[in-house]
Amino acid sequence: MENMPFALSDLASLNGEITLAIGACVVLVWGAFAPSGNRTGSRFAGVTLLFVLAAMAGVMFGVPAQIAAGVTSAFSGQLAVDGYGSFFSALFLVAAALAIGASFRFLDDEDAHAPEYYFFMLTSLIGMMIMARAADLISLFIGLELQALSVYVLVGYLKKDRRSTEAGLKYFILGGLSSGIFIYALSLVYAVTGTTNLEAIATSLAVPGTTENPILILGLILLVVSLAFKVAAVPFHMWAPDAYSGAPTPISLFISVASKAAAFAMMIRLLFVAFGPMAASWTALLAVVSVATMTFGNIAAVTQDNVKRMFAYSSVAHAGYALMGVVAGTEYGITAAMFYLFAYTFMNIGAWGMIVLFRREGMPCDRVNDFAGLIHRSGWAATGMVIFLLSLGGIPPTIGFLGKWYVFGAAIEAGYGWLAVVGAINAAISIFYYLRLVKVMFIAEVDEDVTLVTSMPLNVTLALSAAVTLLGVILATPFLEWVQSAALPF
Amino acid sequence: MEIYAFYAIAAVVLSSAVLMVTSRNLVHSIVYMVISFVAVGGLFILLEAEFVAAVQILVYAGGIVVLFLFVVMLVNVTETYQVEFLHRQWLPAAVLSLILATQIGFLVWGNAGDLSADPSASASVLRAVDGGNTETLGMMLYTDYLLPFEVASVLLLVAMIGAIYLSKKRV
Repeated sequence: MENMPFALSDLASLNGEITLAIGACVVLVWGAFAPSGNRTGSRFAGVTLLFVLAAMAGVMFGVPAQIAAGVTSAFSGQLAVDGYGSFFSALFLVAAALAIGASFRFLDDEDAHAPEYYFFMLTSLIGMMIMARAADLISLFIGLELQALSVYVLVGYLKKDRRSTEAGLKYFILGGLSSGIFIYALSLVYAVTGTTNLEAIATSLAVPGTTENPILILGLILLVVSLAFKVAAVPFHMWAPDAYSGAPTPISLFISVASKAAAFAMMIRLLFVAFGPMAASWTALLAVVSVATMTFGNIAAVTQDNVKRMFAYSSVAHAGYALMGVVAGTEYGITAAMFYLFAYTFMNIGAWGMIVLFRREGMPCDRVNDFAGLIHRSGWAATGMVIFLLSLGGIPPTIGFLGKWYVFGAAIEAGYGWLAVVGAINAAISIFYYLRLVKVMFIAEVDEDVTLVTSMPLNVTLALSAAVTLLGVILATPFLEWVQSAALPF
Repeated sequence: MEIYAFYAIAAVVLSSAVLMVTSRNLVHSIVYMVISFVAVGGLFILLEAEFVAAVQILVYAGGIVVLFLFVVMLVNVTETYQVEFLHRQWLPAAVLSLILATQIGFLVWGNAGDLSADPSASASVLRAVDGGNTETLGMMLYTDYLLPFEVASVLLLVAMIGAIYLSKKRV
């Protein structure tokens, strides 16, 4: 016990998380005392947005200063201080800021209680950031659970809506199961290696003979299973369509990008840092999972009549594309997967944000036919939706095309040409159902019962997402350089 | 000697766990669960983890089970309500579980792997440091594991607020 419990510089590397924790407490306590007025919902949203932006400043300026000063880890090796963690933290915060824009008016229209909603959003962000930055199994698990618990409540947030409650309960039970598998896998890994530190695990695995230990192999298999659960990869995806379609739409938007990206951040760090010596085993497993995820996700999406379910299955398929980068197992592969998640964040938030616009007789509606004749109502909305759908389908010149280009390239470069072929076939299948929605928007007759409910914050969210989706090609080089510098630690 | 104690306790843990799942009466299930939890506490004592053993009995056998019993009594499960043990999916479930068990069995016993992994790093660390088990654990929590310890406090807050929000009729 010769070293100090912790130094002040440790707290500095945690500035983003601490800012969010303060914000969560402020929102919660203020919510307890605020009179229940009509406009309080947007006030809470504004305060939350302020804290998210402050945390963003901490991540973008505070942490790089520490990295420049030579700090690589904090809290006795529990937390890694690196560009990789900052990249994902920034991605979660951007996703949260855009989701808050989509939530502003939605909560008021649904007559839902705002303070707890933003409280759970902030705490789930803390969990995600810990997931992306933890360099120790214990911190990783606590971050994962913090994220998961907050998200379970958010999915079941609309207590009057039976679908939301059902989705929350299903997500809770299956999420609890996968966390159980995860912690069991970690205990087996600990039993063999005797350490919870990711780098120490890799050192221990480098000892000849260790990687053949049957207990360790069982641990690794269970670990991959639980990680596949968390990123909603086939055959462990069954919770995703229910959770995403039942959740309040701004929450579907938030978790389908941020929670998924957090699970990927955790997966990449765990597999590459701790299980690098066993790469041959897990790339083989994940290659199969990737093929199954892309194919099943896209085929299931074709048959959906509900837009939220369709996008839920499409988000399953997108996890499969991002997995290709992980399977490649190279530095280029990680960069490609990270760029894919970056692109996916904006195009998916845009597409889900469009669903928030639609209401039938005051209730949220999400059937494909509700999009009928959108072009005759609002040219802007129709144009935006087309941009997002083309990007999700991977059609140039959108950012989604670039994302696919990089992951396919990474797979081919690593000798997984067949995986890239499967990916390309899947992209073709996905274009079918994305364009089906476009057809309904342009050709079908307008349904007069459906109204478009716009609000300034939602418009800003949609405009920003559309701008990045479309201008991603121009900005690709600086983006890619940034991502590359973030992927360097591996 | 220790190995016989282990087998005896492990037999109690497993048999009461099986009885807990198969028992048709909810209250009986919970009583079997208590037995299983207490026996797991015994396993921890064998591993010289006295603090964890105490927590296991206080929190799990004590607090959690009382909570379970309270819920069963509050939701008014009458004597006549019997939980069905076998439902329609038992056959596929049994087949899949059997396949999984066989696979794990082959992996663990089929290979000539070393079952007794090197324990030098884990258990002996807690024993070697002077002062008891509890003191060492406390020191670890407030030094090396300070970050997860603090994040766990946020986790508990989330669990508490979440439970209150979801269970209250009007917020």
